[in-house]
Amino acid sequence: MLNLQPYADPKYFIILLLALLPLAIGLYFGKRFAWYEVIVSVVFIFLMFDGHKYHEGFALIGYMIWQWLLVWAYTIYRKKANNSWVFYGATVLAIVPLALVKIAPAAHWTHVTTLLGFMGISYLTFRSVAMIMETRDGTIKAFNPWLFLRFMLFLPTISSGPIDRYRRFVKDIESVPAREKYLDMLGKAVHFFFLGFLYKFVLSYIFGTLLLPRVEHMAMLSAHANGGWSWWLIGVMYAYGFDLFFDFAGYSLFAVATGYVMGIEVPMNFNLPFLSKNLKEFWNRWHMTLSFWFRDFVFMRLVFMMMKNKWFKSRITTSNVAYIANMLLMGFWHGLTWYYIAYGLFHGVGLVVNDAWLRYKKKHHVPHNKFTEAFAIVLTFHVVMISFLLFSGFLDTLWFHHHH
Amino acid sequence: MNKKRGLWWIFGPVILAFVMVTVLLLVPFSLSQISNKDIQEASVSFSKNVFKGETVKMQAFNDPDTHYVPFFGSSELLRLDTMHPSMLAEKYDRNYRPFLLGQAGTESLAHYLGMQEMTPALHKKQAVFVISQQWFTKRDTKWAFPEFYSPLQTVNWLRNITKITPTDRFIARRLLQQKQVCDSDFYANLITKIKNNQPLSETDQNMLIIRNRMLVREDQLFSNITLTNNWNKKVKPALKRLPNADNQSLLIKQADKFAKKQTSNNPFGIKNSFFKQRVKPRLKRLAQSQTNFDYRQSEEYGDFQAVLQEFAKEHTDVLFIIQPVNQKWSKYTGLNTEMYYQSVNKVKKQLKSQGFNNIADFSHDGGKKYFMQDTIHMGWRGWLATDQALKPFFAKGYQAPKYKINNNYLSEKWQNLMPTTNNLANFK
Amino acid sequence: MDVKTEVVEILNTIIGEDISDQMDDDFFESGLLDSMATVELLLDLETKFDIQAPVSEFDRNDWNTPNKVIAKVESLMG
Repeated sequence: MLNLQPYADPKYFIILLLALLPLAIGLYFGKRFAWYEVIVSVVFIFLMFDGHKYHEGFALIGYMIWQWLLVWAYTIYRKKANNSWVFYGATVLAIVPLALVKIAPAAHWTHVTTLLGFMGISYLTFRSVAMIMETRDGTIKAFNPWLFLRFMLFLPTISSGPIDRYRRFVKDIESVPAREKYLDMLGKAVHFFFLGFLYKFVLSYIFGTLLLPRVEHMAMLSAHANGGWSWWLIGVMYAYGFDLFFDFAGYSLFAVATGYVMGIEVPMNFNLPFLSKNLKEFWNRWHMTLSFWFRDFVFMRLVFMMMKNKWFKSRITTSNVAYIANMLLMGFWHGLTWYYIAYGLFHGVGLVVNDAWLRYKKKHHVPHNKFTEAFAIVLTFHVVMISFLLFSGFLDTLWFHHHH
Repeated sequence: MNKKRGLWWIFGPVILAFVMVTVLLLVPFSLSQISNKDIQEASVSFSKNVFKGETVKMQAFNDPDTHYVPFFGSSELLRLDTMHPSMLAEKYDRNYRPFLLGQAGTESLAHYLGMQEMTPALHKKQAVFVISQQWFTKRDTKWAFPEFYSPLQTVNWLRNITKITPTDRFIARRLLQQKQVCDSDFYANLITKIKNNQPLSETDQNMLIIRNRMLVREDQLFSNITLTNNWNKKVKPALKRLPNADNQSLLIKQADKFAKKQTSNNPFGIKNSFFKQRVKPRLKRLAQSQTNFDYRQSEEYGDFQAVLQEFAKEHTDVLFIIQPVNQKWSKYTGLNTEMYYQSVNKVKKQLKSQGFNNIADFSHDGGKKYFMQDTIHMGWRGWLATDQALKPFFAKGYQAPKYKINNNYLSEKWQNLMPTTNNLANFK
Repeated sequence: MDVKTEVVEILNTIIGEDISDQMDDDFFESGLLDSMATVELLLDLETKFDIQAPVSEFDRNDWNTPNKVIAKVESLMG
């Protein structure tokens, strides 16, 4: 049976772009064929979850019904009242399926994984939780069942983002870009597709498929003789870090490019993250839609609550607590393993230290020139790379699960 | 950015690129430029690209000046030390040069597929095939298969099928067990047809021709990219260390001298560097670690039969070399000696009963001094013993073989036959 | 005091320097304001002008210069 995994091979791109051609022609002539777009999306989503992945398909349907009812019910409620506990309840209920799926591997609940798990559940959850929060704030005022489905199941981004926002998305999908603008988007789409090919099928292949297994193998061998440490770990770190970036950035470029072809300005996910001069800047350039989501729906709300209720006297303490809570939560989201949580903590503490340094720098007029900037970039890059080594789980394999 | 961009401005370059790639992939003339030096390097490079491709191999085997001979094997070929067959052939300018095909993890199935794209090099020619008993494990772990799987070989195999034989059906079934093959609808469909004894249609054949052309082109463009430098790094220095005269007693003296120096840090006769890196850190854990190893029942016997059938089909004159295991080491790890010899007997029965009588069986030599380089791979004296078998084989030159293929060796009954003397004698 | 003076005063305190001469400069771009400071700004505006400015109302493109903040506050005050 034909099964199409998003952006996996040349075949997918050819079929996808041929399917989107009528839509693109329509947009070029100022028409948006909404029905056609829906049919193409349904067919592609079906092909993604058919065959041996059928149980994921059922999980997706169940999940969508759940979120659909939840957001709908909360919008009806919110028009009448605004009790905080109802809001918390709705948020928790929206997160429950994802939480169960994340806990399942750690707790060995294989049946939960089969029943509820499907590729992309995280990214759909980000979208619906954001909708509930914005509905609470009153910035989303009505529930449009149709737009809700199109937003949640937007084909290019369904499996791994970028995470769009409802109001931004709706503005795009309910309009047609002017021809000049659409041509510009198509031009960018072509550029992004090819940059994505370079990232994902050339660079990520070199780092992830050719180099990484070799350096991992060498690290394993030499770590045996040296109590778990080896210089090869540095090689593993670079190879994994670059693979992670080129693979994910390449994927994101495909998603954005496909969105552009469909006349939707899907937000970018990466902006030269390895040129960041400090960790805070890094998070404004790395997996941006995720970190902005956490910034807007976790960090800022947490700070808002802490300041409003005056939990801490000091502004610095408030922000430090919020940084660590925010990054820890992100760590937990990645999965319940010690290395994801350690990764979150690492970045939380990293941001605290980073902030302290920025304050010190401001106060003491630390010299600033081209060389210090270059040094800052190199340092930030390596701090990030070390965190990726942690994130990779290779240390876990090396230290705790390597029996040979 | 230029605001006046039209559609052509955006898509023109893309279309042009596609046209160029298509032309590049489908032009009917060769694009490869492979020098004699490249072939020399490739013959000792163990490059996966070379193994999986056909361009470099075929150019080597068609070389008018140098007589390259395929040496099929696995990890032992990697041990490029002074007495390695490649060094001896070069140093003493023998009438052959080994072209090493194999690596850690290449077993019969990978070799069978590899042969599909070099049939002219096998047809009424000589070849050497080194067997390791470690291939014949009970649990079928083709862990390395994805590394050596080549779509080009699969295409060639499919194209070579004129009338579907039991071997073809056997290979089809084996291939369909590999995830990489199943993942591609195109190959999975065609191979399933072979498995079900359905001949391929005209359309299938045409599709295969196009595929083949693209893959050959890819191979011509990329398989020559080898990052190794084994010829300069390994072969050249070894040539300097070898005695100038091709004299057995001088070689033995030299081999013993090197071996003695290089096996000083352990009681197993294992090369120092190997022992230090691979064995010493887990020496304790390795004691008695192989008591349960069993090479007597394995699907590999069926794969091996497919290889034999291919040799028979091409009337290849093959010398088989059966490798020993390091006796001191197998004693330490508790490898069952009887089991080991039984598995060797099974291989030999399969060979001899079908007329493959050129066998250099070293399985009883694993205890000889300096015969092994490490735990399961031949070294100094082992290679010299191999050389003693190679010399007369190549001196005689091609001798038309008389093989009688027996398809019962593909059966599960044979794969699972416990090779006691009786069972082997009774199997027909 | 009018809205403008008060907003500028609030911004000056939060940022820690005088911004009255850069009323149209993007303070996110220049790094003068971060997420922390944004929340402080929202809270201060809330108490000072008695307006509801929820976090999700806060679209960075609508709040990124002092003049835009002033306009936003005026619109929220109705």
